[in-house]
Amino acid sequence: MGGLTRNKTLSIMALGAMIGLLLLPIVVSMPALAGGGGTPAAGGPPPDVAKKADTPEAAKVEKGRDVYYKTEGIVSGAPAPKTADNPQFYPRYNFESRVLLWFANQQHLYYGSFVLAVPIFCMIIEFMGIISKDKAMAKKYDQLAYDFIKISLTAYSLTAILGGILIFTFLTLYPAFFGYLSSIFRPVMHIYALLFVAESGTIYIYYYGWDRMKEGLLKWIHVSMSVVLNVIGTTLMFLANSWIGFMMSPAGVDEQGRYLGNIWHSIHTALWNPLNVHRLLGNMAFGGGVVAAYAAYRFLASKTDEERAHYDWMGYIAMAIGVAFLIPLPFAGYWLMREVYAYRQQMGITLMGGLLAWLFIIQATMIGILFLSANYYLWQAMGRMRGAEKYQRYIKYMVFVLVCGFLIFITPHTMVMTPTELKAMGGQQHPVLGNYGVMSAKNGGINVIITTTVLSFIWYARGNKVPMVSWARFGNIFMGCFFGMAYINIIWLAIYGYYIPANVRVGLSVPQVATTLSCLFFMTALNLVMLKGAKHSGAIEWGKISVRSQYALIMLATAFTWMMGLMGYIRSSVRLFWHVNEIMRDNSPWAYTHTTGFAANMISFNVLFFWLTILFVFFLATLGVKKAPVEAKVTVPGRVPEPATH
Amino acid sequence: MEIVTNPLFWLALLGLGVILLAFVALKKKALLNNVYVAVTISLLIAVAYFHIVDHYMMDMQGLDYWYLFRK
Amino acid sequence: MAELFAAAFGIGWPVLALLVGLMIYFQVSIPDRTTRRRAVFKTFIGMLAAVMAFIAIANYKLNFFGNSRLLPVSLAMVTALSFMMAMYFYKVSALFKIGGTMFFVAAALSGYGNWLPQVEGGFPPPEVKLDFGSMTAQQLADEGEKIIFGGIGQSKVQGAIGKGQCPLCHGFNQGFLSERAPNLFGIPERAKKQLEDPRYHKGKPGDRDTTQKEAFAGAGTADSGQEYISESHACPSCYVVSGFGVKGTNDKDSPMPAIHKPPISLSLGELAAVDTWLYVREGKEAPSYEEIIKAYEKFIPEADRPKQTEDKPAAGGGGLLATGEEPVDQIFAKAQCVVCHTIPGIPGAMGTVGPKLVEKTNAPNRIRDPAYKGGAKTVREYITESVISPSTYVVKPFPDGVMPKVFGQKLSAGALNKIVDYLSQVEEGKAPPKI
Repeated sequence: MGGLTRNKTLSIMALGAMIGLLLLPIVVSMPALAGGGGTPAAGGPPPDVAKKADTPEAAKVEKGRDVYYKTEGIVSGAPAPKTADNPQFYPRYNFESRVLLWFANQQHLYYGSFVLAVPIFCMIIEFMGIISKDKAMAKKYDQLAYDFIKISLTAYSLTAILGGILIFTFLTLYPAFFGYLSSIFRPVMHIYALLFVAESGTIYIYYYGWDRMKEGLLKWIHVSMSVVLNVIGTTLMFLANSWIGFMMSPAGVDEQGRYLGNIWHSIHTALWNPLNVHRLLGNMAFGGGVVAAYAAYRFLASKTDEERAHYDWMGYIAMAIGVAFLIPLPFAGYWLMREVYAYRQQMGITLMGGLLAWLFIIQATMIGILFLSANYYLWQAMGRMRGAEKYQRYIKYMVFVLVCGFLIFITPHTMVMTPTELKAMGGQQHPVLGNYGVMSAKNGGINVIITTTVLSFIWYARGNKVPMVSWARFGNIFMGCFFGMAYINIIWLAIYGYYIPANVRVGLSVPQVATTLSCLFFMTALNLVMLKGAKHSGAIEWGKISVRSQYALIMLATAFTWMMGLMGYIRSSVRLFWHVNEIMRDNSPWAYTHTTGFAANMISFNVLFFWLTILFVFFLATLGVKKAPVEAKVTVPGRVPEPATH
Repeated sequence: MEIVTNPLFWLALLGLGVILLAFVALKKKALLNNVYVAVTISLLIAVAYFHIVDHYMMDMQGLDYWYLFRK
Repeated sequence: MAELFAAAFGIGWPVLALLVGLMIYFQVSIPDRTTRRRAVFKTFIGMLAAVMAFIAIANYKLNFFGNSRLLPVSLAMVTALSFMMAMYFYKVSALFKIGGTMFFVAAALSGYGNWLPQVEGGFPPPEVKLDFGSMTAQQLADEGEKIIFGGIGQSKVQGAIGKGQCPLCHGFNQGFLSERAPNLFGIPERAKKQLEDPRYHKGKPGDRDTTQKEAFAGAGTADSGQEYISESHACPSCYVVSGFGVKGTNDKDSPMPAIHKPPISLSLGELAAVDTWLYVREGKEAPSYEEIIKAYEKFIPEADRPKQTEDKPAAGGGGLLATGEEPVDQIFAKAQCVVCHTIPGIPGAMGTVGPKLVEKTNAPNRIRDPAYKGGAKTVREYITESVISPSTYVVKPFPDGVMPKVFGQKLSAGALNKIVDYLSQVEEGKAPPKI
């Protein structure tokens, strides 16, 4: 009993320490922020008066106008450096500096998003374990969460190392630019560093406290630790986002790039929030993909049925989480694009209809591939359920619907062309295709795909269950009608778009999205209610899934990594020849934008490098857990050692 | 045309569907699983619901969903 | 090809040597025939895979920056070798198959990216933030020539046009055709004379019969030649040279836009550069930069002066006249079509310098004309052709060479499409299409 009390005290102290770590950076930075707008949470207006008192030479204050907020502020920084193409501003190796930086950045981002996403999974899964009434299930969940955090711990140190390499690359290759950026963000850079320390601290306490804090109140404290951990992690990411947000849509500085003393303006730029949401969702989907790939790897490499069953289940959970965040991702992307258009129309045109438009065609193709693979996995997964056979014969129709949606979705509408190409075609749009690729039709395509994915999920959830509620028949008919009308509505809106002017047409995407979301929320909820107390027609036989499905998971993960690389490249290169959009020019020899093919090659390289290293991380993780299977093996009687082969 | 383009008409239709559903569910439970009754009620609700979604989602953006019909 | 193999061998020879050694070692040391054959065969497969891998790497090494579209072939080769290895090395086959799948996805996507049309964003245009104030007169004049004609020395080139768009209407060389607006040759001298024109009402702006009497309330009239030029830029309708007003207004209204306002929006510094060029090219001494700026400040109120930083070239667009996002009437206005052409349904399009644009009626007749040598088969094609290369077919009795040939570069494809859309629906004697 005494031990338990001590444990309790210790864990409460640990939680207190974590919260302390969380608050420390904020407290420490209070004086620095006093001149700014307080913490992001506070977000007050600029108390310029306070700043004035700090500067003794207040007699010679120079005022500047914020490029974005249009407020006046006291100039308190040097203008953005004007660089020139020489080794003083752009020191270089005998290689394209930008490619090196691209590589360092991308690898850090991959690992960073992985280690930020996995603790969020842990939190969700650990919580699911706590509230699960089934004891065996609870234990399974708990073990899974523990496995996850173990993987992310190894990746965590790699992230830190890669972060160090990234900063080093910046300092050696782009000193002028990095100097300028850090001069703007000086007040928050040390918060970032401290938060990073806090994140390390909490993740270790969280990991090593796992066994000690298994029961009762202690477990709840442990879960709250994961919440603190994730708050720190998310804040870290938001801060990092504010820098890229500043580079794309600067604020808080005047036209010459002089800092105006309000850090909140510099953080809270036009694109900050859409970027935050988009990245958070993207990280989660990406993390789900990586863990699913890990599970697939273990599944394919496993020798026993128990192992296969465990990793099949793990892959399923990871994939489900990943897809759950993949579904809202296009909507977040749509918001981001709207904000980009609102910020600078030219930037939006460069993205969607100009220089980078072909990359968006690739992206559209990839979104289609992602959804197709996710659906394929779900259909395969029905194979491990007895009773799901009844749905198999519908799958071919779903494939047809998905492919139709996909083809519509990737049809381009407007493209940049040279005047000669224009002349050859006699207009800006392709004589046939140009009539079809309008956005409301494209949105129709993607919404059909997402709605079908929702339907796949619902079928999967019902696979081995027969609803027993008294109104089951009505429920089924209602669900059928609702889905049917949803499809009709989406397709109708897509066609309707051709008959109305463009300014009305752009609005059609909102009802389309609302239709899809209605299906997602209402039908999932209805399904849950209907399946309450349902009769099981057969158990889920974990591990009895086809091998092909596991390759679908790997494909999903790889494609997701590739897409992340692609979107990151697009987001970054839309600045064209600016380090900081319209404030600081890139005068290096690499200020041009690469060809689509070069970008694709580079992304492939980054993706493969990431996967080769993360497979190594997985391999390291298996070294740690080797013990358990060995013990298991011993208990299996009559097991002969495998014969040695060459 | 006038009536069809009025959101209140669709709201009324949706209300009718819901009332019918409630009536059948509470008073005539046996009828609920009758195919014709179920299809009628479901379609009534679904059709009305999506029209309302279309109308108000466009209205929210200051656009007119019924553009083509009013022209 | 030979180069590729040589490079591959250069990288991979130690590994190959090792594998050959291993093969010989197996051949010699393993007594059992079946085992030996299997070991040797597996080493052979390993060598094959190694050769493929090194060719793939060499391909990357040689062609990485060369914009070769064949780089994804490397990835496809690695995919193939992974699956081959997976077939024979079954203990690690899962790992190889996973790797193969990943390489396959990467190869497919890379290949797709390389198969699509290759668009490369060129280097940025040179920095436009110029310090006009500290330039010599000649430097300032050069900048002015760039603004008017798009480049130094371009003033002699027919059809050259810069961001100021002046040559759309004004002639600049002696004797050049200039029907839409006065020829500006000799303007430094002529400006002073214009002040004495009774229609100018020097010092008494209230007596003017033009639609706009002053640049802004209290601005007054010009007192010097330079002020006259400044006023003409800032307030074209304050005084219209006779014969150059908007048709039908009896010279009360000028078709010229105020140059410091959108769409042209030259800054004061840029205007000074333009004006300096007008003097310098005739060998006359230009007023100082400060004097010119002062002259403009008289006619452009503080709030209306465009900041120099705001008129950077639109990123990526490269100084387009219209992006295609605007409604079609604005595109016609921005591209200045309205100055020369009459277009039914477009407000302000009353020009008579070029033909009236009723293309649904006209285009079929033009295409049938024996004198027509262009390649257009349809109305849309004819319009596109006429905009992009106006000299392909010149409507009688209008002269050739008046319409600029730059619209292919200066209009976005979207804008061009909207123009074509609209014009192809305009029919003689029918109501104009809705905008």
